[in-house]
Amino acid sequence: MQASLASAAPEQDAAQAATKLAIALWGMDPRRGRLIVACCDLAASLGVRVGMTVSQADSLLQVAPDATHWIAQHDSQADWEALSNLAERCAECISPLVAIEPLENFLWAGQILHQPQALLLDVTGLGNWFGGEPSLVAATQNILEQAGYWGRIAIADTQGAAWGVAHCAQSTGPNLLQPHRSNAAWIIPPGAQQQALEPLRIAALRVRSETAVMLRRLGVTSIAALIRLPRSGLVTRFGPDLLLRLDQALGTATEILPMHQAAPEHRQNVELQYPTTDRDILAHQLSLLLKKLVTGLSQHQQGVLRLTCRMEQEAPPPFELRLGLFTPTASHEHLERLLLGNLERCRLTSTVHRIVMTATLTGPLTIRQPTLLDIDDGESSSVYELAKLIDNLSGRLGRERVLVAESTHHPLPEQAIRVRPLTGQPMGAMIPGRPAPKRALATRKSNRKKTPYTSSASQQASASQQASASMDRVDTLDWRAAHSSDPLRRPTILYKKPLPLMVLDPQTTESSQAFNEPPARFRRGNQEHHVLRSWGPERLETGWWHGPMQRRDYFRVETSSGQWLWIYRDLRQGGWWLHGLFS
Amino acid sequence: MNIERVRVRGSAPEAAGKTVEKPAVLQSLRQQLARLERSGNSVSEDRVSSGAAILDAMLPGKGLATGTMHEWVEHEGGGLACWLALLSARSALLGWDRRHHGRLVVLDREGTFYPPAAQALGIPLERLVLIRPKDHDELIWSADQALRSPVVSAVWGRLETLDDRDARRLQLAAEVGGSLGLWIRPQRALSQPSWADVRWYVRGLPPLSHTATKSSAAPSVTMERSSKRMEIRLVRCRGGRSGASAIFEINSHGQICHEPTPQQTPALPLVAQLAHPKSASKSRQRSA
Repeated sequence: MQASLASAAPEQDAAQAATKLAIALWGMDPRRGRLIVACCDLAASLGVRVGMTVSQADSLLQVAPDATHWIAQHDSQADWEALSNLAERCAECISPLVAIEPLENFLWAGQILHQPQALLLDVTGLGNWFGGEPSLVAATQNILEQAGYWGRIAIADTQGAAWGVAHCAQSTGPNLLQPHRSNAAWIIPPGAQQQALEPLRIAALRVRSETAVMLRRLGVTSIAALIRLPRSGLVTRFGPDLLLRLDQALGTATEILPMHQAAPEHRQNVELQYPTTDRDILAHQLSLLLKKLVTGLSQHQQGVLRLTCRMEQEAPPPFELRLGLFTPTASHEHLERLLLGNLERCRLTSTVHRIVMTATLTGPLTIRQPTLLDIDDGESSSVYELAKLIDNLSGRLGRERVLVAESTHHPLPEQAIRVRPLTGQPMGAMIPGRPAPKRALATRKSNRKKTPYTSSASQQASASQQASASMDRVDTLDWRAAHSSDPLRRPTILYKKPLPLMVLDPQTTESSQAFNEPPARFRRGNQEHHVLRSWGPERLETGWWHGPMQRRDYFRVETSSGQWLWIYRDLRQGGWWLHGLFS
Repeated sequence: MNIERVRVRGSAPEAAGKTVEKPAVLQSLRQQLARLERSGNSVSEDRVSSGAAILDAMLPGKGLATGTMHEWVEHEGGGLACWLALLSARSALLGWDRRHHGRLVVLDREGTFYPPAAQALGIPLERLVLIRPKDHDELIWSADQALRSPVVSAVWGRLETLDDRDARRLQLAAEVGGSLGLWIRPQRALSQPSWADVRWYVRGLPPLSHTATKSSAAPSVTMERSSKRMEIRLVRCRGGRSGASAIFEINSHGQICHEPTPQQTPALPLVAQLAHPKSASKSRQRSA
């Protein structure tokens, strides 16, 4: 017996708890551009659907009364990490055989994101250990709830049937368990998968989207109708995939479950004979575990990039130490120092009886033979020193506090920079189970950047070809605006949220000839500012595909007190805002 | 005093025999004084430019000594202290050819530091390590770690408060690592003692043309490109003379120059646009 656990929304954000905030996430579709890939209940009630374009969703959310909205890019790496964390948790508590759903090289019916979104657990014969399968489901629901997710759970004979029921079954079906808060769960009795599958849509079979669309156009809307069709005709019209999927769901064809589990050399654990809170003993055990782990990894020329050490305590919440590293390392001393430094700062609430150490991310060790010339101050020693510094810093401050900034070429100042942790990054940033990220857009942008924007005739012709790309430009209105060689074009301090300014004599700024000028006097808090000089406007606007459109005219103003401020006029909503400070 | 005199005599043996040039004697005296003033034995002779010739001229070794701390105290009304410190950080990154992989560590407790400002100055983003400590203790600890590291050229951060023990700790760390500690301090720090080698006080000034016609309320958009008038004062300088001050202007090229003469007109780079050779040759072919 197998169970499919479809954690439908691992990307759900804690921010959703805030009242009246509609959240939608978009992903890049190679053909249709930016599509909504997930949205919260509030957004769904306002009419946002998965698969619609960002502009449609934006216009729906714009008109919504008394609800703010937030449209952000979907972070597939974070999603993958959350799903594999959940898989490891399930492997600890439910079944040792956990698989993250395997992907084909095409999109399944009803799927928008090409990345795994479900967990498959082999729970054959495990029901008795939990006191029946309903208790097993309840235990799984508890795990989901602790992690803050809601999911759809199904237990069936085959993984195809469990997947189909979990994804497509109505919440009123016959096999539905007692609803457990927001988690829906079904248990299909042995041998009854055909009855359970028959009322479902074709999409429940994990077939190609085109196949499902074609069958719907032919009037075949449910699996029951599909089963009644002659098999020989189906193969010639739809290829062998459809029948294979049907057989896999019904149990007449076998399907291999690719297990997601850390390789033995990536994982070490120890059961303590006497549960203890003594730090010396724990430190000793950690050191022993680390030695085993590092020896195993270095035999495969691998080094640790992320390390998780879970200490299970007698009282339930297990304690976790997490390390992220800058470069793959297999140095026992280095890792031990970081780990013990973390152990010193943690507070144990009860005795520890088991320690599990897992290298959740590894990378190839790069060993370079030093040449005679660079023995003194070579590149390798500087990389080593840098890795030591960054590991130390992020070991104590936390991974998310030691960052590197990247330029995103986004026109909005607050999104022009993306910060990411320096440590624990995969080598080459490839996510397993997902095709390589497409770089086409990035190269187009970088090509465009080489030609400065001027309004010559030849460039207008090329601009029409790249209409979509050029709308994203940083629009320079006149030569007084920040020149690209001006080192003072951006402020050193940028407020996280722009601060509203009160313009003191608004009638002068509203006149048409003063539209390109900043206000003469404005008030911020209880301080009044007189503008002496100003530079601008520099118009920054986003394309419609970037979510809610923004148009702003930025000015650098010098006030009578000698301060330099970066203020802007919001051309869509009006009003003046203070965004940064030249300090 | 006697001891010093003996040392001076000892260090210049020629003095007894023949007349020595005055500058050489002064130089050796200054070096001795600097050695006496410093507590540790690791006196760094390395200097990096502070990023501007005007500021360098005010400093004893024509630059900032590595392995030391430097403070920029910002006037409450504003100034460009952060920006000037970044300028020094850039020259520290550039001037350190001995370690071509030097990094700039930015300690940003408030999370408001905007990296494009550094990028606009020519600091590559991949050489910048951004640290966001949670509290003051973490900030001091991170600064200590970063200053100690041999791959860090400069550490840049805002320090609202700094007690003597922490200051001494950071100073020792900078000596070990040979890096520059560049700190932005609030105006109230002026009344506190400083452990830094150099302390600047930066104040933004209103533009020249507006000092006379300050009463006019309407903003006049000047047709010149951005320029900023500032006053900088050397409040403290170890081994040099403090109290010097200068009024200068940062022009739109990021150069720091003395106050401009009023007749100066902004030079616009007007380059005639030439036809692209490829398209030109094509059109020639077509016409032929």
